[in-house]
Amino acid sequence: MNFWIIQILNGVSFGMLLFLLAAGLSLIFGLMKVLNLAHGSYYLLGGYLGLTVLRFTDSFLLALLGAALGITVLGILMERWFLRRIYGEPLRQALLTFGFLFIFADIALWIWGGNPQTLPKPGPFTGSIRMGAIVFPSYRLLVIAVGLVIGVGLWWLQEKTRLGAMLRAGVDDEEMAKGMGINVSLLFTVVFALGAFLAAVGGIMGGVFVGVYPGADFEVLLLAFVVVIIGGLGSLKGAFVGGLLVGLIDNFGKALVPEFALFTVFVPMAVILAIRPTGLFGRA
Amino acid sequence: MKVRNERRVTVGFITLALLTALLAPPVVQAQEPVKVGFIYPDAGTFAQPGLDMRDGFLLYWGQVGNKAGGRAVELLLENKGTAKADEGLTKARKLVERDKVHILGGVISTPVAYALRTYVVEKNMPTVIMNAGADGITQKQKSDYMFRSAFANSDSSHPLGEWAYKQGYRKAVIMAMDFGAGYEQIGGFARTFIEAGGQVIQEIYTPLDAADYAPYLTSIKREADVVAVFYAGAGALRFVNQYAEFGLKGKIPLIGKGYLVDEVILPGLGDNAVGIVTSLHWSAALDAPANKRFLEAYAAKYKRPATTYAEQGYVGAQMIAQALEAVKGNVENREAFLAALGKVEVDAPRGKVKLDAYHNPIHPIYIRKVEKKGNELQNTVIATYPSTSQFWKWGPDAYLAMPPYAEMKGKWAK
Repeated sequence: MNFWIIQILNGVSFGMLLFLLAAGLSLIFGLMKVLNLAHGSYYLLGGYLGLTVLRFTDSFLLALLGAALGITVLGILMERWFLRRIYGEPLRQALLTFGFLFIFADIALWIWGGNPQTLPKPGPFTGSIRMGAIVFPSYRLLVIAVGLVIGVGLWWLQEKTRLGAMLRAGVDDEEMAKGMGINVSLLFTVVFALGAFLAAVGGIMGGVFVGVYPGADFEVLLLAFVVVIIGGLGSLKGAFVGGLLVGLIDNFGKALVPEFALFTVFVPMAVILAIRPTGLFGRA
Repeated sequence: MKVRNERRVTVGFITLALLTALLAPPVVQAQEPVKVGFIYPDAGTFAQPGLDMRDGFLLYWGQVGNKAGGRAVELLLENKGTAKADEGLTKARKLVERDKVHILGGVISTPVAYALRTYVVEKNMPTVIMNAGADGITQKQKSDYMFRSAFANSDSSHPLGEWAYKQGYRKAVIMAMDFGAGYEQIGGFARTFIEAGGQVIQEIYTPLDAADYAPYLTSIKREADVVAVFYAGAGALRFVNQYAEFGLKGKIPLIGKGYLVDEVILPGLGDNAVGIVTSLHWSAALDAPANKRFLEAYAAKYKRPATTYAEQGYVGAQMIAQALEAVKGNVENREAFLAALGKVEVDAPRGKVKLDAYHNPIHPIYIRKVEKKGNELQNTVIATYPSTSQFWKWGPDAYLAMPPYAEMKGKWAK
């Protein structure tokens, strides 16, 4: 019994992290049809920036806010100065964002060096919670909580606010939305900024237990892709369910059949691609 | 008289001309520098080890004024993407065929080392590997042209198995990253531990890029006396921290290979690392004059602490320099130079280093324990296995007759 409780908690906490990583990617693709390959860089730079702020201020909250804001600005600049020029040209977008991925990786190496680092845990969450024979790191519970809060927040934003309505209109029919007087150009920038913001939050929350190091950007990008392929590109609900599903399957796969650990993340993806190519909640 | 004088002058001239002719080639040769090509990655996952290895290498050459055996030494550095086999080979080709280097050195990753092997044999190119640790390079795939300043993956694992048994540990769980180096690094431990009388009760191999070790840590068999692991880089950072988070620290002792608590990641591990025992051929806390001098010079020049990779680069330079001295700079006599390289005996920061017949270092292996000194963590040396061979106590023939560690994966646990 204890084994199952711990594994479920593990799976859910990892799944929430995956959700944070995938939400931004999915959101941006849903509205703008841009597959932002530099998404992994936002994670990496977010983590590093958080580390730096943390060193100067000793406050995890400030690090979270500072890094997330910094990366949001970076996202806005990228959208305004670069991506804006090539909307509707998927090949160029892929090349451009892929190029950014490499440039940011080199800049990070230059500034922060190549040694792997982790962000220290915020004060109240350094220990582990013990219940009988169960020992579970309390920080992971925080990750679950943050994931839930952000999930609910995004749902509220999308379903209950005017911005969300414009967003949904933009996703459904961009031309018509423009015709209705929605400032789609501004909307694009806002969504891009939000996507970058979410990835940076993932970088800090994840930087604590996954770490930040050269190459993390590619690994995170891969995981985010798996999640959005399962959940469906462009769907927030898909990112949430996909993240949880991958987190749980991966965790139980590794715990129960470690011989197949390399595939546990990719098996569900292959199955979904075979029976429902658009993902669980995606639309063709 | 006159005739005799003329004859004397003529004889003098001829003698002079002959002498000049004899002396001339060595003079010209001495002016041309020895070219050493150095291959290292400066981007991607292996960037920092690559930069450290390079800086250790450069530190030594700086100390001796870029000279050895009476000749100037010119260093040609090749970086960018040299962590991949094909790219490393391309760089080696450029260095050998275009730049006409006399010696190759560096190499962080094993695939590059294997890719270079065929090429340097074909070109008769003396090569000093300063990190890539695949056992095969100095065992079954030994070559006349490849030498090591660093280690074979399992050479510092053997002492750890014996040491662990002597501590009274009988049942071990072994864990490693799921790739060639992982099998060799942890296999070396398993073999000597079992030979001493211990038992491996569980083997766990985790994907290289496993983002989360939680599922593995929670399935470790709790009746184990000790958990022995090989993790490196970001994986080590995650592993040690998560080992503590899941309440295993203090319950089952954690031991492993030195990379688990590498000096560069110790600050990120904090108290979670205290008490972990590992084996390696070096420690920054090694209390030896040569090591002290090396650490101080490195920190003074580069404003960052030295690492095991830096030490390996430094020792690689020491070996090349000593071999050049032995042949008086005549690196063009390749036979003699290769023989000299095989016979080097250097006073390395880690201690005395010489090479066995397979060109792997016979060097001291240290058992180190993470301790807190003041506010800093360090790997305090608690036991030393001097002059340790990669063949441990078996000798080359008996050792090479046993199945290689890659084949033993999954067969240790009983």
